[in-house]
Amino acid sequence: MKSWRPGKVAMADAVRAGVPPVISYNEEVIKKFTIAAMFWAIVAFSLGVYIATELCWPDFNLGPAFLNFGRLRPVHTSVAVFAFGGNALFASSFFVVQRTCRARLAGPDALHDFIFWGYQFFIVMAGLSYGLGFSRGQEYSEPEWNITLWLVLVWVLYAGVFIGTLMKRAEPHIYVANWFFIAFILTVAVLVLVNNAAVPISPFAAKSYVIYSGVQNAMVQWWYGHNAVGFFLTAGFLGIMYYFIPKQANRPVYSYRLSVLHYWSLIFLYIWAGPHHLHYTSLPDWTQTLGMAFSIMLWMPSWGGMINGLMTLSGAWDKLRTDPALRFSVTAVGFYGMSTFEGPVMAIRQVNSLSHYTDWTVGHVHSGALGWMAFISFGAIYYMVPALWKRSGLYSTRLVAWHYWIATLGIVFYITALWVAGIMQGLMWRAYDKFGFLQYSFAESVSAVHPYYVIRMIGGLLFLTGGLIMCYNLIQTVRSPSTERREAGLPAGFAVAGE
Amino acid sequence: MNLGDIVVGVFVALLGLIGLVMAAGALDQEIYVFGLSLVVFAGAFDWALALKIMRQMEAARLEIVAAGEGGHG
Repeated sequence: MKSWRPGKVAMADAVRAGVPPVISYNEEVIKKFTIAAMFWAIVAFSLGVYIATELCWPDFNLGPAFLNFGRLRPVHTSVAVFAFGGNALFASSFFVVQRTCRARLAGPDALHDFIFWGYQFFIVMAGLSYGLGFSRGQEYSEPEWNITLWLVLVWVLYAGVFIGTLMKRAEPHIYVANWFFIAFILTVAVLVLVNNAAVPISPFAAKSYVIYSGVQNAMVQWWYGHNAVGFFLTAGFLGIMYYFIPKQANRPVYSYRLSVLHYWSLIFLYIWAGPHHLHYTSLPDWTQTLGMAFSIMLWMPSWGGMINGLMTLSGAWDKLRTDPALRFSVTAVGFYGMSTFEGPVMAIRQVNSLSHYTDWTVGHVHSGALGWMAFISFGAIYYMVPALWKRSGLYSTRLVAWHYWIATLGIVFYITALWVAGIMQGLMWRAYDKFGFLQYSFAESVSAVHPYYVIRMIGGLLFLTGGLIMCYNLIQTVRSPSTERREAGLPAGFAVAGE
Repeated sequence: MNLGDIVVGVFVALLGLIGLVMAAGALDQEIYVFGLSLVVFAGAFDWALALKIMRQMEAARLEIVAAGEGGHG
């Protein structure tokens, strides 16, 4: 009977014949995604610093409409999440799936190239349209229908290549990191399709009418929005964690059973938590309570995953002294634990009444985005670049250490400033005087947070500086003669043994 | 020459044509910019793909020639 897994048959045939099977991975497309991730990281951090400066000193708006905070802010978030984060996920998922399946990416190389360039085209088109003033006005889902349709096309092809590679794997089981990548790919597809269900006013016009009305639209939007966090910014990056931390620490995952429990509980619970974004709105009360309850339940899988990631270093903690790239990955897991603790706290209705609409939320998002998403990506990229470009190691571990400390200091500045600013805003907005009037005007609360906005901007500047150091280090890693090529003593399939 | 590469190339060319139609009938700036950009994207992608395929064919031809010369020697 013909096997449905040709890769496995080829591997078995080769082993029977006593010939080591040579697997030729498509690493060119991973290199492209890695370069794109670093390019967009610098763009995202620079834009973040610029719009933070606009908030401190509005004169920095300079006049042109496309430089206004309102237009640049979605460019910043989209570039950070979808361009930097997305490219890091594409790169790492293609890196991991080929190695853990011992199979080349499914489909022709031209298809992989199309996925790469098509995704960059999506990012550039989305950024341009925001600059021109076009937006659906729904957070993290701003692109108009035509750009979203393009994303769907690219995403379906990405899903096809990823799942196709899994189907032709030569390994008997699917490693847990791939399960997280599958959840990320499939759920994001469903989220985008449902939340963007809209009727264009014409095939030749960008504007469209969403099919949901009123509060239903709000609920679908935050079902999408929260699960963009849950499945794009969490599940995908957990896939990175479950592959790269064991590889960097040279230790197996602490508990494979816990990782499977982490996976199923996370994907089951996350999908219900969206309504916590709509506390004290016209959304039915029971729905808000449901969202809150599921958010609190999310503590369990989140912390289970965090413990699994950290405990993988059992017996290898000393590596943190010598491997600053691993330090990024481990600190990322710490931030994952911290922000997934803070999130459910903020989802509690009474806490939310203080935190919502304040800069506490912005600080929370950035502790996740910078501390978790960016740090785990940095750890993976520091691991992948020498492997992809066949170099002996990184150009300078000292520079990695500088990057680590500068970026960590930047995050601390950022999130502590916005904790203080946010809680102060919340308290000022709810303060009443003895006559029952609001004690502070809105403008007074804006004035009060100004010093914290400056500290936040300095934090962002530090994070950007760290990113630039990383770029220099990676470029030197690829170019410098001091990181000479490895001896190719083993065929590719065996050179990565251990996967 | 890989049939898969050709299929992708034709598919991208069709997308470029859709972009051209969108730009031609555009009722607003967003669709106009998107359509024209799609045409440029498709043209550039197919151009790069054609160059890659031609380089591969040339390399294969040279390999055959070299093998032939080696056989005679």
